[in-house]
This record gives sequence, C-alpha cells and structure tokens, in this order.
Amino acid sequence: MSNLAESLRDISLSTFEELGFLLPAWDDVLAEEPLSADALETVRVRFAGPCAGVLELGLTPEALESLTSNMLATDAPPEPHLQRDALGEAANVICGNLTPILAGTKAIFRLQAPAAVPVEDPLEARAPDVDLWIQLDSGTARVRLFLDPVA
Amino acid sequence: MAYNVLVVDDSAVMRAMIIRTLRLSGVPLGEVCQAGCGEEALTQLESHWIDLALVDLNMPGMDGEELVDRIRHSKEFAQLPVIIVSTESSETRIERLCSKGAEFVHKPFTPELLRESIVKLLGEGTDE
Repeated sequence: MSNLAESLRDISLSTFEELGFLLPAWDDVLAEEPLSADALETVRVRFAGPCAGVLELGLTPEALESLTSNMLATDAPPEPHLQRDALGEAANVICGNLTPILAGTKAIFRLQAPAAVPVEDPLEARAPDVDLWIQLDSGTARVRLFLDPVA
Repeated sequence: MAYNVLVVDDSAVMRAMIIRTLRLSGVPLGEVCQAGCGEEALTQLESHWIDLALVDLNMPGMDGEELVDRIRHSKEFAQLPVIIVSTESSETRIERLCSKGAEFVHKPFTPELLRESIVKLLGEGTDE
C-alpha cells in the first residue's frame, strides 16, 4: 500500500470512528473488490488548491444507516435525505483531513459541496490514484481518490 | 447565565451533532437557533439575541469566512463571539480566521474541546 493510500485509510478510519462510532473489522482494508459499486450510496467532494481532484466516499446501506443514526444519536432509522447529508459530511471531514497530506499544512484548499455521482460519470474511465475497500463492523466503505493531472 | 447560541451549518445532521455536543459540554444554554447558510444566519442575528455563534466554513453562497466579515463590519453584532467549526486544515486560513477574532474548532470534536473553546471566548462563568 502506498503512503498516500495508508494515510487515506487512517484518515477514513478515524473519521468513521470519531464521527459515527463505526469501528473497523479485524482485516479492515480488503484486498479485493467485495461488492459492486452499485451496492453503495456514493458521494464526491471536489477540492482545489496547490493540487486538485475528487474524494469519493461510498457506504453500504447498513453502514450508512449506522453512521447517520450514531451522528444523530437516534435509534429510529434516519430518513434518506439525512443519510445523504451524513454521507456528505463524512466525505467532507475525510477530504478536509486529507488536504494537508497532499500539500502541507500551510496550503489553502477550497472544497466544493458534496455531490452525487452524475449519471454520465466523467471519472468512469479513469483509474483512481487510491482505491480502498474498508470493512467496518457494520458494513463496507469504499474510498477513492482521483488527483487531477498536473498541467 | 444561560447563553443563546446560533449554529450555522449547511448540514442538518452536523447542526444536530453540534447542538448535542453543546448540551453535553456543560455550558449553560438558553435559546439555540439554527441557520443553514450565511444569509439565514444574518436574518437570525437580526431577530434574536445571540451570545455565541458556531459557524461552519464551507457553505454554498456566503461561506463562513464571509459571514464572519459581515458580522465584524456590522454595527449591531460586531463583537459577537464566534467559533468556526470546520474540517479546514490550512494553518494559513485558520490564522486568518483567528485574526478576525474567531476561535477555531476542528471537526469532529468532543464536548470537552468545544467547552474549552467556549470558555476561552466567553471567559470563566460559563459553568452551570
């Protein structure tokens, strides 16, 4: 695993734990793709600064429901719009903690609001710079990082 | 003394988390108002007595930094204590925000950390 992938894994795991009390399974990073991407609810955050790119976070339905319920401290299943909100916030936190790894602690980045993956996906044909499948105690997460080519 | 607090964040889930954390922090709370964006926050400030604002940075439209600028340039609430609550990690940007008289708390945060920032801003006497 590259240093960048390791950093992204660590940031993701601490975000899931601190934000939503989701803990990793014993073998947290999975070597192979365990699920189809369609099985996940996915959101992207575009960032721009000294470098630019997209941070993508996907969660299985059970992981997303757990995350949202824990963030809201509620037992009742949260409504879909709140789950999408929670997913976006988790992606924001991961992205915000990733940017100093990419360009140092002095660099200023702008993060766009989290957005759903468009139907015509401009990243479909691109290989991500990092692609992690993370097994949590209550479901699966996929974190992908796409860095824009340097001009 | 109970403090009236305004929570500004475009995420309803994050606003709920912040409010819950505020309640757990032990700081005596009066009215808690919410706003989903900078413009709504200014409307709330004009219609409610607010002692403290917790403001997200990255919001569509007027972002948190612009909101702080508008607050600091207003006659009525220029001195309002503000805590920026954000995923922002740039030391440069955080320093710039603090130079505008705001405290900064990094998301996610514990009740203890939030309380520490509130006491720093509002001084002793925030105990129940």
